Amino acid sequence: MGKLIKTEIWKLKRYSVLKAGLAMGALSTVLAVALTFANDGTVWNISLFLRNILLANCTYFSPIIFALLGGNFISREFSGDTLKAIQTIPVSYRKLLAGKLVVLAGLALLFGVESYLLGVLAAWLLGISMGAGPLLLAWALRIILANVLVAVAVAPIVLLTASATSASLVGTALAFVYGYFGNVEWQPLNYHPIKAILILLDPECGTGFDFIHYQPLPAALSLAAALLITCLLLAIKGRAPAAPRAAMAKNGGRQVRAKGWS
Amino acid sequence: MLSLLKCEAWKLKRQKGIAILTLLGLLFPLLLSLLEKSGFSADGGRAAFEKEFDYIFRCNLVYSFTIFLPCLVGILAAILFFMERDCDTYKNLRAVPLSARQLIFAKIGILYLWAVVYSILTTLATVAFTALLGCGLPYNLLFKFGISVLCGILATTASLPAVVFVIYFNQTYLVSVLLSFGYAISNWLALVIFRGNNAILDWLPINGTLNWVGLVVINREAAHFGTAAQPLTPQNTLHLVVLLGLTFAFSLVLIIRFYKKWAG
Repeated sequence: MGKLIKTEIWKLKRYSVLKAGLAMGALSTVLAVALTFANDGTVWNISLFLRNILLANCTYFSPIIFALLGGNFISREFSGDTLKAIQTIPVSYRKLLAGKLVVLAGLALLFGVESYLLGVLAAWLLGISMGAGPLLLAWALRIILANVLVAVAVAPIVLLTASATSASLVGTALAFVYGYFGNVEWQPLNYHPIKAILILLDPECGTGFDFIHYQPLPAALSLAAALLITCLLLAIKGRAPAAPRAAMAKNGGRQVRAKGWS
Repeated sequence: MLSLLKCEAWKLKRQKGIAILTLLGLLFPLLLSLLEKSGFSADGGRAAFEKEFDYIFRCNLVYSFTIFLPCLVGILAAILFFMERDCDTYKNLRAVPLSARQLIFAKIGILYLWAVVYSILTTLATVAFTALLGCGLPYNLLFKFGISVLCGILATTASLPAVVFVIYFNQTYLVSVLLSFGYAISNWLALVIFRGNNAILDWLPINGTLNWVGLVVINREAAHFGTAAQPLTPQNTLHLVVLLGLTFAFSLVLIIRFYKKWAG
């Protein structure tokens, strides 16, 4: 598995995903900075500023980025026709997918660190009071951990939709709605994995609504369920998807071969 | 042009993803109806039920049209405009002969047709979920479907800058799609930052569209219930026509320029 992960990291160098992801990861800071210019009488402190980054990451940007990156990692093996070469090594499709998901979680961690550092830098430049070291450390852990957990919450969507580019784009749109639902305050969303991350890591989540009482245990269970579904999907994806069915069906289940000298 | 549109529509039959993308339009009406149901009280008679339906309908205009539709237009544009590049069929189309400009017009036409289908579907879902869950009373449906289709067309025009991003960054789906999502989210962000400051919001394509459609809907509701509302003036409409006209013209020029650059 170690070698697989190393190979996946090497592949990242060839793709523009890292740059795109880093650029998108910075958007949560841009959003938080923009909100400080809203003329609504808010008195800003570091907790409020970093909380906005946490919310923006969880509900807007991270689900989209991770669904798109995860989808891109997997669908590239199909579109680049490199899967057959990998399978002759031999590496099972399941292991390959698991390696990609681990790299995705690693990138989530990296983007979390980026978001936090940019957030602290922006807050300092805006003259927002910084607070004590333990407070800053607590927010660092929250933002980074939230990003990794979003990757866990999105992993089932990635696995279900990543065998073709258009399917992974559908997965990205689905991840957008999935993440956006995290913005809504509604008791049944205690079982929604993205909302669960906010319930567990955002101290202000659900406060100010007397009809909502989120519980940490169902939230943790919903995240565990997302992880379990990911493991189950990996378990049943032992083999890569076969050649297009329509073409095979015309030939009684045999693979279509090109005519002529090829 | 009609034949071209037909050909482009045929090509979509192979793209199963587009049907699923369209079906995602059901998600927001479902969530909104469930949310409304959870805090719903059945007191107040027919007017109260109609007002509940109006509330769900208006929320759906915001979520499904001005937040989600620009993202979907970006994804659909990526699929439509990269199709020839990915399948290496552009040279065949050129041999027909077919100009890049004709192809672009056909693809944009498909974007608008898709937006009409999406608008009808998401409004149908709003009506169906509201009626099924009993959290409102659908009424005045001809107007609701009409304004939804109009909103879909206007929001697609307002989303054309996202299509420009998609074509400009044609090397990879990643950057293109991320930027189109970024465009949709930044409009939402502007709505939060400049809340109440319509002088700025009215000049942003998506927010300007939302404000105008909101005024039309609110005036219709006020006429139905006999209440007062901020009037919709001819200046409001003229402002939107100029804004979206400029957005359409600039986007089209850039789309043609960048697509031709890619096509060589």
